Amino acid sequence: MRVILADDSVLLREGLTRLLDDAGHEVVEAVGDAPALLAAVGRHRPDVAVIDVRMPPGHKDDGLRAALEIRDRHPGVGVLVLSQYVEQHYAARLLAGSPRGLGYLLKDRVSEVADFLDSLERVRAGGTAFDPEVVRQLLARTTHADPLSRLSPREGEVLRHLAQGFVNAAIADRLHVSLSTVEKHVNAIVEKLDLPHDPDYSRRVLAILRYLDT
Amino acid sequence: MLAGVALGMALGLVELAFLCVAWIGRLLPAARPVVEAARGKLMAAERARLSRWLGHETTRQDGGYGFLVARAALGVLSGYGCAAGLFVGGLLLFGGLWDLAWGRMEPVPVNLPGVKIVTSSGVLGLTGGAVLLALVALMALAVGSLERRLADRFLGPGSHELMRRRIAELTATRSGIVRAVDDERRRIERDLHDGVQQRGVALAMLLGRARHSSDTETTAGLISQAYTESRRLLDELRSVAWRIYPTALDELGLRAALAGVAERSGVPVTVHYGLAERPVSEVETALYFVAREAITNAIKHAGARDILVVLTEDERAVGVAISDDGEGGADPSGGGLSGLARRVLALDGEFAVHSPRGGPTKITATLPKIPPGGFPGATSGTASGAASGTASGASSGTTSGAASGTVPGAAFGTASGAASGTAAEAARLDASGTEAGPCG
Repeated sequence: MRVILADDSVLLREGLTRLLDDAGHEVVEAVGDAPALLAAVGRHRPDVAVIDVRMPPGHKDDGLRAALEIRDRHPGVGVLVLSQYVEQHYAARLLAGSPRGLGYLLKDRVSEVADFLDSLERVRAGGTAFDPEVVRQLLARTTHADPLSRLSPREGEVLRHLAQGFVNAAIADRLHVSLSTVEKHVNAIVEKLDLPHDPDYSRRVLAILRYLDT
Repeated sequence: MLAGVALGMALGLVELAFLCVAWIGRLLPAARPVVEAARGKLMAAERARLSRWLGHETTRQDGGYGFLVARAALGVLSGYGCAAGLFVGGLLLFGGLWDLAWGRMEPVPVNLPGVKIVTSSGVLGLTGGAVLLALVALMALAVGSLERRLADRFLGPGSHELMRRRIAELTATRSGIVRAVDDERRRIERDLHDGVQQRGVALAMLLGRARHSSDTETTAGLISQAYTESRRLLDELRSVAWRIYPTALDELGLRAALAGVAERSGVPVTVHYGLAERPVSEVETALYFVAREAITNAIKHAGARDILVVLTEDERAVGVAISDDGEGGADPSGGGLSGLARRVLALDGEFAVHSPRGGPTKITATLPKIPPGGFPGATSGTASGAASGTASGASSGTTSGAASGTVPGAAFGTASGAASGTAAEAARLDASGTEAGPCG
């Protein structure tokens, strides 16, 4: 896939470029600030843009704002935002629209190469990739502790995977269970949490994340 | 100042005349506004004279007649004294010269206890005249200092005003120090984020790639890169920790800590350490951070090639002055410098930046030896004395000659490039001069 990298640390840009090269992806451009990122995306129309939240010129959330702008202007470009810390606020801003082709990960996750590449692949394919830490914080703060406590431990695990954006087959793979078992758990979760039955995958993720976020 | 005093004598006469008229004039209701207006004009003239020649900035707007009476008395008396002295002195000088010039000298015997000489009237006239003129000059100086006291007494800030100023100053420096702490934290976070964490992620990424790779040769290469990266990460961590607070400052003192800064900087830094004993901890820390920030700025922003750090002290204060040969243009309201200013002001010190565009830059900080509130072991008397003594000038933004005059202390520490063995070097330097432990 064709990727654009945006991070102000040369070290990380180089490292990520190598990592993606190794995996057979093409880094079409690697930039160090938000304006350059917007220009590069406009020029190359990559499959995915990997963006650090904190970047010049403002050194605040410039990367995140650029990411939102890219989603607005180029809906076909997947956006994977990397962040130094998990900020619910950032996640919420990203989730204001559709979670299609959207990822929000802790920067450290790039070291778990297989998982990182998998997340990238999901975002490229129009899926969602949310950091386990984001989901953990959502679960810790949610006001729906009561309905959540009605889930079985296994269902809780499936929910955490769903919220991160894994599809049923991937969850089955990761939890070493059959696809039909996962589907059964998913139905139970939807039932117990009173979530809308929605066959569309990314709408389901959004519903879960919004549910947890209240 | 002499001009001010002379003008004061003339003004004294005017004031005396005014007071005589005003005394009567105030009895007539119709004349009162005229009298008041004249008084206002006189006071304005006095204020202008005091600030122009005697360096006294009046603060109180009241205190009219009392001051005028005292001033008129002083002005007229001193004016009369000076005029009489000048006249007689001039007469004697002239007479003496005249006698000398025409050779019409009469021998004059001088009989003093133990001294018996015969001299001429011309020489005696010259000597007497010169002595009298010198006395007049001395009297004028004395009058000048008396004038200042008078102005302080009648027009200077009262104890209320002083307290109000002190409170305003404390409030400002207190919020200043909170901001300085926040700025410092922001900087530490930035240091950690931009340096240490990036290296950590890069390291993890290398290891992740190594684990992911199936080719043993690639894996070995990646692991070796990761090892190098981990060494860099540790270096970075050490340098960040050192930037946050160098332990050498507590353990070995300011001299050793500054030697460390000099060693680490890329350009030659010369330190003249002119302090006899270690300042108290907070003063020492402030001096250290002022010097270090100034050095960093000089190298980073001004492109300096030579930096001089001079530490001086007198009975009450210690000072540091950092000068460089860079291109100047430092902004005193910029992040680093304003933080330093806040830190120094909070300790009742003075901080000044002189950095014209084109250079050179000179940054000075002067701190009272005993900071406000004193420190454990200090008697409360000296502590409060020092605090109130420096209170008035703390916000004026000027420095009191901290860097003028050369320092007798030994020059050392000209070092460039990153040298190893910092601790050993520092320990050696410390053993040569610095006392351990805070004074007192």
